[in-house]
Amino acid sequence: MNDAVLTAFGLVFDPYVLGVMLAAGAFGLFVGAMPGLTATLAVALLVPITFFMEPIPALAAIVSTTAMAIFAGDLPGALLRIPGTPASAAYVDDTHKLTLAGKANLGLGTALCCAVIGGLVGASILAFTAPLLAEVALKFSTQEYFWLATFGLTCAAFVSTGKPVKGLVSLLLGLFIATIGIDIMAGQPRFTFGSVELMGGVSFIPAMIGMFAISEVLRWALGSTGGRDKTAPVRQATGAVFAAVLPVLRRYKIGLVRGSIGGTLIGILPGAGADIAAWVTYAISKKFSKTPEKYGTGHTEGLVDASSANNASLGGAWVPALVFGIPGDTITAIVIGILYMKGMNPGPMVMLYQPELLYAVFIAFFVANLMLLPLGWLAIKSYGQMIKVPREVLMPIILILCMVGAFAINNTVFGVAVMLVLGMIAFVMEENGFPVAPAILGLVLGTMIERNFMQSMMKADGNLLAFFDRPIAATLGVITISIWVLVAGGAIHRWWRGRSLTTTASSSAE
Amino acid sequence: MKLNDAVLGLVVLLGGLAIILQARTFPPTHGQAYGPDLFPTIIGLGFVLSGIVLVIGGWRERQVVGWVDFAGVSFGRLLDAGLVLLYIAAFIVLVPRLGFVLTAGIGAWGLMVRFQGGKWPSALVIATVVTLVTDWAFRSLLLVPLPQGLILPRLPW
Repeated sequence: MNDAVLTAFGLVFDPYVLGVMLAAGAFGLFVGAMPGLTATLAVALLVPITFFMEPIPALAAIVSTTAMAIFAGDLPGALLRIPGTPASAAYVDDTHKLTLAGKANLGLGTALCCAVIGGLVGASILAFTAPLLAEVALKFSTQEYFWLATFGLTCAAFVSTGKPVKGLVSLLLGLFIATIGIDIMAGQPRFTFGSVELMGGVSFIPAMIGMFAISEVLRWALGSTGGRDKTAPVRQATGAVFAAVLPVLRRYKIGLVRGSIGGTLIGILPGAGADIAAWVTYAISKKFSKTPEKYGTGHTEGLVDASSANNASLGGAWVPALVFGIPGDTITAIVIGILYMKGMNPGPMVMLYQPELLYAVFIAFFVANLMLLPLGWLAIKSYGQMIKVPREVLMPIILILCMVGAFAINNTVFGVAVMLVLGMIAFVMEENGFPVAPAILGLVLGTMIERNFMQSMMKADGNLLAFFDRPIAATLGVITISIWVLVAGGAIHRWWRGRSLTTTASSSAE
Repeated sequence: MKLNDAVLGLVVLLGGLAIILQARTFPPTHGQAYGPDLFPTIIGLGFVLSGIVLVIGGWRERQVVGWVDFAGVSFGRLLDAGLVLLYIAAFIVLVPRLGFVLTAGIGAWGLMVRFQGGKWPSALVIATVVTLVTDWAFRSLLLVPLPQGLILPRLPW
């Protein structure tokens, strides 16, 4: 095992890999700092390029891009009051009001330091828990995997914001798309309508580029992201960035720890990513604060919690992805897609046969978060220049990269067509309150769930109780089913109460 | 573009029914009680149930939420979004004949001019440079066979 760690150090501290991480970091900072372009979009645009890299630089590039992009989202949040990525939305009022009070350097410096610390905590938790969990995962059989994946998808569908039924529809859509193509168990073509291209199934990568990038360009074109109206002139962060930060961190050290650990745990939950981590930890921080009335008025307390949480969640999301092959958020869903394309099978077997790959990811996380400190400082200082790049020019360029990326996966325009169709579907979904993350997770996990479900069914000869005859499987099964019962019960309860309220209202009106 | 949940629910419901009907045509696996139709049928049932829930919910709030709502989106913005879709669709159809450089370049130039409301000379320079750099990077560095097309001669890389 120590050999593997040493090998991993050698793999990451290679000039080429470090150069790739630096370039990917600069790219992530730029994309994150552009209002309306998210960290997931940054990863989706990277995919076609990582496709041609060795696994380690490819994964290191993604780790570096995302760590930078989540922080960079704070820049337009503080200076323009437009969060650069959804993960910065929770505390945008605080950072922007600090800027209005002439303390942009305090707000952004705090956000940067907390992002670095949160990222390092998330990376540490990842490095300690993943190998331990992998030992457990090696004992898993098809039943455990079925329940684990079902549990993951259940979280994804119901953790996301909005009505649970919309999360469910999104999840089912992903699972359905995964069934298109030749069925792995019986070799039967399904839902291909005679198309040879569809026989091979819908590739993840064009699907993801469509769902994240095309839908975002469409939203921008329609002006729904707020980026198209001429905004107030950009304010600059002047003065020393780090000078005022240390006292803040010392005063709110409990919040820093709480945000970092809370963010990592939320990241581990499948489907909940950096944005949910920021919202939840901000709310928790406010609840425990002695001065909750100051939140949203340019107060640094909630900012400490939430800006450490959103970066910490990135590391957390890799835990289930590396250990079980179940993505913790949309970014790791793309990562799993890339690993499959590289012929690797994410899950405990990677730990057994390629442990250096796991350690390399951990090391890349530490390196990326340490790089964030100087790069983030540079970004704060040069933001005025960065924002001058007009998005009116940037969006067509993004479209070109998307089309080339979707084309490059199988070298056919069919990938571009998949991208277009799913981009339109994702756009309509998001406009109407359907979360997109469950669909992506369903698409990535669909094949695995079906295979484990069918194998378990065949082993058990149709006896559904067999899904519960192993202790871990039974526990996971009971938890998963309880969540379903609770959500359904809650919905029925609300419906019943709403009905009785309307009937009393109408009877009193008569 | 906001639709009432009932409209979307109806789409989901019908989609679920179509999946179930299509799955019924899959032949059973020999010697097995469960065939390739089982999983899609479960998904289809899930769609049908969710669709019903959405239709009921949307019907109840039909006074508050209209069936289709384009609130606040100007015609110009709709046209912008339509042009984005048209660009991708045109790429799919035209790229085998016109080649990557012409298709991607002209489309991107047009979109830049439209989005910026003019500035066509600078947009032309940017679109040309971006397209050529992308073509060079993907075709000669990453060895992606981007279509040459039948019009332009083979570029020197």
